[in-house]
Amino acid sequence: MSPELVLFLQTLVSGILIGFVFSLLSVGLTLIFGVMDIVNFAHGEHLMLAMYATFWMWTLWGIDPLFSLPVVALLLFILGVITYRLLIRYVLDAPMLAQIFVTFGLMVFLRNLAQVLWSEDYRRIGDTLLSGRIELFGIFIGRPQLFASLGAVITTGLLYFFLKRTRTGWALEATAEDKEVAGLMGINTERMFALAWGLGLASVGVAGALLATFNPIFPEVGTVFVLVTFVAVALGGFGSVPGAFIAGIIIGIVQVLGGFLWEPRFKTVLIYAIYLGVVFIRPQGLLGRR
Amino acid sequence: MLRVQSIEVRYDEVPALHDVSIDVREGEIVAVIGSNGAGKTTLLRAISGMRPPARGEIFLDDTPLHTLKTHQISALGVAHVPEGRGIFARQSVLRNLYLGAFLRSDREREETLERVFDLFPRLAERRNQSAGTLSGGEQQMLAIARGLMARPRILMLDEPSLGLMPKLVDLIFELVQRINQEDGITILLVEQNVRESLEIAHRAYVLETGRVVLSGSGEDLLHNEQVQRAYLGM
Repeated sequence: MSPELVLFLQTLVSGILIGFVFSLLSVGLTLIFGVMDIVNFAHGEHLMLAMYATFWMWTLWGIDPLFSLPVVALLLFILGVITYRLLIRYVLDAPMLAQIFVTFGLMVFLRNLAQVLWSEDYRRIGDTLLSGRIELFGIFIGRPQLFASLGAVITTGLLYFFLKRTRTGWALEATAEDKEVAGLMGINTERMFALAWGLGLASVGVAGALLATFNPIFPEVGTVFVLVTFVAVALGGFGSVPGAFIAGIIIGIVQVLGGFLWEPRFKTVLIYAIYLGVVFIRPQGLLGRR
Repeated sequence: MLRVQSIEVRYDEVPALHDVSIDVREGEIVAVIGSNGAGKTTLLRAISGMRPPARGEIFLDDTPLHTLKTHQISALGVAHVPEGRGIFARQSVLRNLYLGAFLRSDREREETLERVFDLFPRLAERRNQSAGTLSGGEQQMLAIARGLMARPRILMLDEPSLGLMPKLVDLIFELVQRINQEDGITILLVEQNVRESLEIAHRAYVLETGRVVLSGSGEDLLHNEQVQRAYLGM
């Protein structure tokens, strides 16, 4: 293989790998939106918290991210339920602006809280069980990246299975389609809202633990990932889980290929160009409904 | 069995129901008739907890319903087939029916499903089709069938004949009567289709601008001069 081709494949693979993680992040966001029509603007900050949780468990107690992952997911699930119970519940019937301010305010609050508690320093998790890289047909793949995308795919798959194959998953989808009628079926819709927040944040928890193994951790780290997540959710169609999954991969590929074929500093420009294209040509997104 | 005692329901502080009382006894078909905006839908919404009354009380036997949430009222055996059908258009027909039996065990669900397919053979044929692709009449049947899947004690139907062609209207009324007679399910029927409703109803109430103005047996109301003039065009 020519060096250019190897480099191209190398870039493509890394784009797909990070794309799966974008997918998981987007699924978490779109799940909450789909069920209750509320956008969680603190999504990135929840990711940041998950990354810090992974970091501190590794630093303080030497727990490898591989093992702290389920704990972080559970912590974020609980945080999601608490966030719903203490905050979101009160703006369910409020004007959209009030709903935006609540999660936007939460974003500012969490970010500042992290700055106060853990300072602006960039933190890194050193060698873990996942460190190192493997070589496949002349292409190098970082083991943390590989594991991250594997973990993301498995988690997304489990979520999808839960939604499609379990009674509670059906109830969640019914609530997403029509809350009032779901109540008439005997579904406790408030519990479904709490569950949507729990699952949405648990997805972020898994993504955070996975990303923490190869990314610096700092209070604003959420913005690095959350903007592409919002684009992926819009591209996939607000509220569509399969849409968010596909869009996440597309965005991962576009991001790295844009940098590779064009200019690294323009890679995000391409992503937002996609976003504009979606808004103009197909506002409901790939798999969304009008 | 179901007792609504002088309830008042308000929308944005404007009362939609004033001092409304109705009674439904076990095994009956009770019709509530009236024109558009008389408060018929509001009455059902009040009973199922979607719009709790500002004043007054609602009892199922001796259990107060007016303090409960929609899903709790549903669990007590009150099934509400809402105005506009409220089917889950994105889900399959079968999934809609399963959601109707959300609080039932798998065994009960399959048993009821058999009976429901017996009553609505069209739904059996279309079980895997997405509910949004059904015709209006089929959607109405699905909505009623989904209500039955809960094995309710009382089935509340909000204008099941609305927007259907005459042949289907007859079919729906016939099915409502069968459900009442063969399955022993009590029915509270809200309708603008006055003649057919009074024909199958044991008793009926006439609602006008949020008040009960007349009540009696279906038969009596059918021959009542006031009803004939206002609703039957005689």
